[in-house]
Amino acid sequence: MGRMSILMVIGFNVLFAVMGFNVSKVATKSYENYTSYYNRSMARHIASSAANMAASALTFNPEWRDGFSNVGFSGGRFSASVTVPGPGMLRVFVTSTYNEVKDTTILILGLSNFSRFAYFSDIEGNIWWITGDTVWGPFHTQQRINVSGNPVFIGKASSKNGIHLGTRDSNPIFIGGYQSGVNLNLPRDFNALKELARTGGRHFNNEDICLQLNADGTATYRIGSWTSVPAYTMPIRDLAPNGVLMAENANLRLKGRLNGRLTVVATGSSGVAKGNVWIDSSVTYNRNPMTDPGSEDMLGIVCDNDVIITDNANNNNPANGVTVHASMLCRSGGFKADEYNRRPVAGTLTVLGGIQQYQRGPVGTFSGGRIVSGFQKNYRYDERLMFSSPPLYPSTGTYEVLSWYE
Amino acid sequence: MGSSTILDILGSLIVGGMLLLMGLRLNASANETTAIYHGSYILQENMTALVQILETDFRRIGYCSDWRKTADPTRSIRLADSTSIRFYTDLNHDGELDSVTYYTGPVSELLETVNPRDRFIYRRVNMEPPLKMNLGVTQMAFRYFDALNVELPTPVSDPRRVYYLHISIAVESPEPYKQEYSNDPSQYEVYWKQVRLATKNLRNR
Repeated sequence: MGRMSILMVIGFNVLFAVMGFNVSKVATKSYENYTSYYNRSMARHIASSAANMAASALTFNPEWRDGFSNVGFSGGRFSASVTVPGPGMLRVFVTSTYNEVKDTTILILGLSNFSRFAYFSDIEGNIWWITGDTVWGPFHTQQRINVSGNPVFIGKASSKNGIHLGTRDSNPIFIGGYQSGVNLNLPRDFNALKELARTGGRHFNNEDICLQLNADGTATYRIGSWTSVPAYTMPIRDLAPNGVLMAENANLRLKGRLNGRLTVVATGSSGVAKGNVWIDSSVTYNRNPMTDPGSEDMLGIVCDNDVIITDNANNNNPANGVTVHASMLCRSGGFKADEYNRRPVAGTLTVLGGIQQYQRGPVGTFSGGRIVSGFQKNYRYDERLMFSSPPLYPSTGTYEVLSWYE
Repeated sequence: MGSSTILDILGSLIVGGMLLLMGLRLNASANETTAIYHGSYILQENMTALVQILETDFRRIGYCSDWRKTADPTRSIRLADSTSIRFYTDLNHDGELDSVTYYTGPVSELLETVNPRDRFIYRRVNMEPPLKMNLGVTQMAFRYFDALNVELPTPVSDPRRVYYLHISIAVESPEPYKQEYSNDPSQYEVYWKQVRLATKNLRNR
């Protein structure tokens, strides 16, 4: 009897143990499933955080190449390396581990150009973006964005000092997103461009240059004025092999039809005598990218002071208006029309490209919604500028993330 | 055989019977517990498998190893509705953009399961036939927010405005214990929510 009891107790114990083990095994598996997901998530978050830290380090110091080595973070570890796969490009390779689960994030960054901005200003002053305004392409201002009503910002918008809403019900529409606290300064000078123009492009010193772009891929320039002789005509690739033509300490006058890629630069102290680019007649691409997406024609206009639409007969024909195909950068001035408040009604000023300027310039005057003098504006962004730029166009000096793989 | 022996036998029978009843009851209870745990385990497996696929795809919205092909990543989302989404990404990391569409089917497609609420979840890549997943999904909902955290009504008329995604998924056991859904949903339902998924490539430029 005693032996049977012992056997029975042992039998029940074994039975309960097996049942308990089976139940707890399933419960443990559920828990392991959860922890496995948690470990994977943590490894990914650590890799993502490390990639953000690397991107941040590169924002504050574009020369940063140190990377990270086996850094403890949030219960795991990460490492990151920075390599240079090509000119103006960086590759950040991040690995992370969390409870022996590994993850990887790869970033490709590219040196950002001012040309990618559809609109950039240092000084916004009393400019208000109102209902009906639409900005196509990336937007940035070094001040705050003054908003009244519902303007639409199609590309990514950023400002250094936030947004100022003029009325309580103002609601800007940021289709491309918005970022505050972004600090981007226009170049202090164009010395680097000058060196490039001297060594591989075309450099003029103390001479006003009149440059006519020809549809056959050549350009004709004169020194002094449009009537000066001789006139030099040559292919753009011979005129400026690296694509940069500079008039230092002088003005540059421009017109014609560009077949190719070129950046023209005018430098000089402030005022109308030097450092300005005058648009004496429309400047267009031979192949218009709006109708011909395969067009590779691209023009950069860079100057210390202003890009000015000349007040002349060519530009004052309301039936034709003036068209400028270019990305324009005015380091201490803006894009404006000469005699904007005294010239006749001149039709539509069409810009296909982008304008980066110290301060927005006027192109006309209005009364009661009707144009009184100068131009009606029609500005469109050349979307090719999101991934391409005119030759050696000034860089912001910062890197932007081109792709993020995780 | 004396009367005491008969009493012993009767007592043994009673005790043995009680033990047998207890054993049977224990067995039934253990079976139920095991089935519920197992169901829960399968549910979690289904959910993590699904979430892993979703997270991998969604975090890569707008990604392309040839970044020139996504010059304007804001255009990566092509359709943004409450139960469906279509976007571009480079699935194979080969520099070619792929179109990926997620949507749920009607409950009438899964009448053979006990659960009257479950439905197929579809994942379609480019023009290939959609991949059907029967993981007990009863709900897959998307919400969209713009750059100022304002929720966008669905279907989103201009998907370029999407800045964050909010994804919620409910998965239920297609075959619950005793084919019954108790009053305690935790026994047969798991819920996953991704709040404010900000895909890195969507806003990188």
